[in-house]
Parts: sequence; structure tokens; C-alpha cells
Amino acid sequence: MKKGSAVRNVMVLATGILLLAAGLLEVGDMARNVSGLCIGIGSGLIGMSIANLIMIRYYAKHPTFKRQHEIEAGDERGIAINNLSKAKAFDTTVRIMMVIPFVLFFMDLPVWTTFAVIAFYMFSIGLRYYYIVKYSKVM
Amino acid sequence: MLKNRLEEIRKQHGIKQEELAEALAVSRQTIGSLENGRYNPSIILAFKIARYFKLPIEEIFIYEEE
Repeated sequence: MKKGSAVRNVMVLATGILLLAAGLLEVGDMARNVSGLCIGIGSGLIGMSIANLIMIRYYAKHPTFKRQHEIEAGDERGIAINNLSKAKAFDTTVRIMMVIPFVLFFMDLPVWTTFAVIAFYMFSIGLRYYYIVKYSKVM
Repeated sequence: MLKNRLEEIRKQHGIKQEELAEALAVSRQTIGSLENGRYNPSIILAFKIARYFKLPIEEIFIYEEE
């Protein structure tokens, strides 16, 4: 089934409605947080699938717009700009995350908050090196 | 440094930026950036451009030592 097909989006919509209904009706002995999770995920799936279905219908009526969208999505300069902006955003986030533990420490917050930020920082750096190794093997 | 004669060659062929962009499946802004020298194309796009104009790559893109 194609990722952007109408059938797939109708199935996602039906799943979203079922999840939303289950969350709202609190089917069985559903815990409150599980019910909230169902409502959240269900609403998200409904919104996403309806938006996709609208776009599929719009593209069917306006094939030139669809072609334009496909060109822009695959445009190498656009992809390069997107990748560069993601890399810059990562660098900025990591720099900010280096400062946050000190701020949390001096704010006299529980020590686990500081360790949580440090752990997340280490995870981000670890993930970066994982991808360096991964792409070094394929490029 | 990579320079190019894309604008000159495109105008010689009487083609609009939009038409070239459509033929190469890139955005018009990419053609504009290439012509202004703000963006260097991938080797694949450089080949596509060369094939489109039926010219060798080095006649369109010129590498100069800085």
C-alpha cells in the first residue's frame, strides 16, 4: 500500500476514531492516563489523516500543483538547506544543554533533574557518533 | 571555486528559469542560486544540466583554484 494513498489514510482515520472513542468512553477498566493517551493519539491520527485526504483530493484536482510539490520535496538545494538547518539546530540545542545542568544545579532543584539533562546530553552525543559510524560504513 | 556559465547558456537556448527547473525536476530558486553562484550543484545535477544542453560538464561548470 502506498504511503500517501487514500485507502491507507482512511484506515488511519478509522483507527484514530476508534482510539478517540475508546478514550472518551473509557472502554473496560481503562486507567485515566491510558484514556488520555488514547484521546491524544486518536485526535492526532484523525487530524493527520483528514489533512492528508484533503491534500490527496486537492492534488487529484490540481496535478500541476502536485508536480510542483513533488519537485520542491525532492529539490536537492531544498534538502541541503533542510539538512544544514537541522545540523545547526542540533549544535545549538547541544550547546544549550551543556549550560542547563549548571542552571538546574544552582536553582537548588532535585539532583535527578540535573542527571536527567546530562543523560539526555550524553544520549544525543552518543546518537551522533552512532550515525557517524553508520554513515561512514555506507558512504 | 566553482563558476558556471549556466545563465549565459540558458539564455543562448532561449529557455526560462522555470522551464529549465521543470525539465531538471528542481525548483526555480535552485536554478537562480546556481546562476548566481550561491549554490554548487551535486555531480548528478551537474550531469543532468550538461545532458540537457548536450554539452560537456566542463563547458558549463569551471573549477578555478582559489
